[in-house]
Amino acid sequence: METPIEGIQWNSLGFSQTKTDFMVTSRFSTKIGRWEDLQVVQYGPVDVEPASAALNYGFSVFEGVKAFRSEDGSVQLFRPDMNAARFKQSAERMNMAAMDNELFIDAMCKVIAANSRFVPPCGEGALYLRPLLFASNCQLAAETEEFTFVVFASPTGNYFTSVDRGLRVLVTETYNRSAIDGVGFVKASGNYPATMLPKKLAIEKGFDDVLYTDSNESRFVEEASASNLFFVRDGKLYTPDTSRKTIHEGITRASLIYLARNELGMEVVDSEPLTVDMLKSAEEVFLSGTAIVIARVKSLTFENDADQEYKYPSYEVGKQLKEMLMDIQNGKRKAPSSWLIVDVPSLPVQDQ
Amino acid sequence: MVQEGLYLESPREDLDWSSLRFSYTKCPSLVISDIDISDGADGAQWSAPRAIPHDPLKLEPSAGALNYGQTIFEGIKAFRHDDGSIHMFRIDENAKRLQRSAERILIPQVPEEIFVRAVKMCCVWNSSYVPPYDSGGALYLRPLVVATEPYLGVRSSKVFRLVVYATPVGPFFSKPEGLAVRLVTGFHRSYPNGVGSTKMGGNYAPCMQSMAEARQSGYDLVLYLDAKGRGLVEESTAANFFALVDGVLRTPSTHRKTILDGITCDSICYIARHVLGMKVVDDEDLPVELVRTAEQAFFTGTAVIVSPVKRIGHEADSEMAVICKSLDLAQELKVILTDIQFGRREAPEGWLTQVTPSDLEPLT
Repeated sequence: METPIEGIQWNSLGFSQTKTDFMVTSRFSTKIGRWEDLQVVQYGPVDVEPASAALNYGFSVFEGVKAFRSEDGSVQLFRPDMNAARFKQSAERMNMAAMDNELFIDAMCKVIAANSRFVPPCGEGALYLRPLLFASNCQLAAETEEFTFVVFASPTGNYFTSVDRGLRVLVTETYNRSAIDGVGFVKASGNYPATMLPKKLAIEKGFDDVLYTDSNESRFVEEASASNLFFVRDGKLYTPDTSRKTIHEGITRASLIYLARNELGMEVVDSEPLTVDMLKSAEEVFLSGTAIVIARVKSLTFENDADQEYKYPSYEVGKQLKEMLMDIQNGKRKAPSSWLIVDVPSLPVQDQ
Repeated sequence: MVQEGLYLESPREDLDWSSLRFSYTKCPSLVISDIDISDGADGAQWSAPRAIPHDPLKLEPSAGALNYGQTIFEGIKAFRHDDGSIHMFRIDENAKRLQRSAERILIPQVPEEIFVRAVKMCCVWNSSYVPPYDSGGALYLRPLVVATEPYLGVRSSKVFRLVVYATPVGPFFSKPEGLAVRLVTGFHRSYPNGVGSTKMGGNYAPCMQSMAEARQSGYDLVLYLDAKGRGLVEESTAANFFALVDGVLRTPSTHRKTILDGITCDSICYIARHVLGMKVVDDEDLPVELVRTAEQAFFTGTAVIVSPVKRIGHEADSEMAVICKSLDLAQELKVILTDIQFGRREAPEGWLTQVTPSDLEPLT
């Protein structure tokens, strides 16, 4: 593993792309029936046919994985088996070629090893990995049969300062992001465009993000534009259940549920739909996701009750969980034994 | 760009036009136009469309289109008439629909003038792929807008490319006996206040699973019901639905924005009303209960044209079965529509736009 590159202000990197040296690619054709060997190549544009099913029909799924540097300079991958399983689930739901966990994790290790000088110093951020799978064959109305897999990497910063101040969030009923029994739970590219206009309109009104409710009744709260929702009420931690297939099954979400239950000894309610009204009597509200880890919500404004801004002065459970999770990720705290933390092996970088 | 020497070619002789299906054949030229709104959307303009050889786009893996799904498209057919002239069908409607799609998912609007010019150019540069008049085929033109900016973090892209490609197409279905249609349970393609009425790429991939399951169960096509469970018929993956009930032709209202506003659908409503003098209801919901009593049913779309339905059902529910007594209406409407498209019957005002190279003088 190389030491962190000089000249990057690691902590000022937000969640945006800083281009790195290498990416990992593979291709799959249904005629051959297996993934080609992974290739480490220079980061750069890939060929995408205008008539590809990815661009025309939304056959594109992705993941977000983080790698962290420990104090001893070694680099660890955080729960990549969870990402591998979700990537497979996404691919299968969208009738695309899936890959097994081993190949997926191998690809993550290769892209980290090739870009190891971009893994931030311990405690100053993470190397964010973006595995992307898209259907690359040209087709008009036929089956997808060729797929491109590409993993790129970007160092990302800590967020502690920016998101801990707290977000103002609008609870919308005007727009929805997901159908019951639809694909809202899939990390498919096509799930994001629906959220862009509502978020833009909310930002224009001074909000930071939008919280969505169920598209049938606007009665149950679901998730924010790109993160899961948690709230604390009467000492219990709540997060909406994902059984209606409308909500992303967040890996940070799953990790926080585990830590709250097993390390904080809290009662966690994570398998029932939660009404919008419950939020009005919550003590603390926060969002979770791979990019932000936890973002505190300082206030909620409900569209149907817009005169009142519900404020949440407390940020104890969220803060505790965030510190605990980041300590585990940075190797300062022992991870629960059921979590897979992969030590990334150094690999000779193959020049293309 | 020098336009001298541009002329319409006759159909290529190295293609077997009689075996043409609705599938992809690569044509030699693309037309592109770009916009960059990094400095704000107000002053930004789409560049003058230009034709380039058909090569893959070079997209960074972090391109917005691939990661966050900002892609919208249209489908337009161009027809070769008996006199060799080439005509596009209702392209102004496609231009307007692309604008509506763009608005909902924060893609900069493509002005109608740029859109029509780009599609015309693509047609002219690939004119030897417009099928012969007597083949019954058409040149399918696909304008696609993709977010090309590389970035991380969900937001709208600031750089987009309009790319128009072409492919000659023939019939989508060859089922003269009519289609077997499966009513889909356990999946919805759309939801209220969402994006189901846009021609966004992400509306299609989620449907593949239900299509594959239907085919495995012996059906040709699927029909989706509304996500609220009210038993309202919506549409298929890429086609609108019609039912003839008690002599009234019905297609579900699109006011909830869960159903695509089909241009063929609108054309069929017009023809049924004004040519056949039928009563058409297109501004009401269509309950599946009503469909059960249908005498006839069919699907419409740029790809499927007008495709009659033989039966509708679901193998797990015998109550649901609908057997259509006749395919006549769909066949009659299809003949009228294709006669208009091929110039055998007078078209309503504005439905056909002739493609002539002289339209493609350099933009001033």
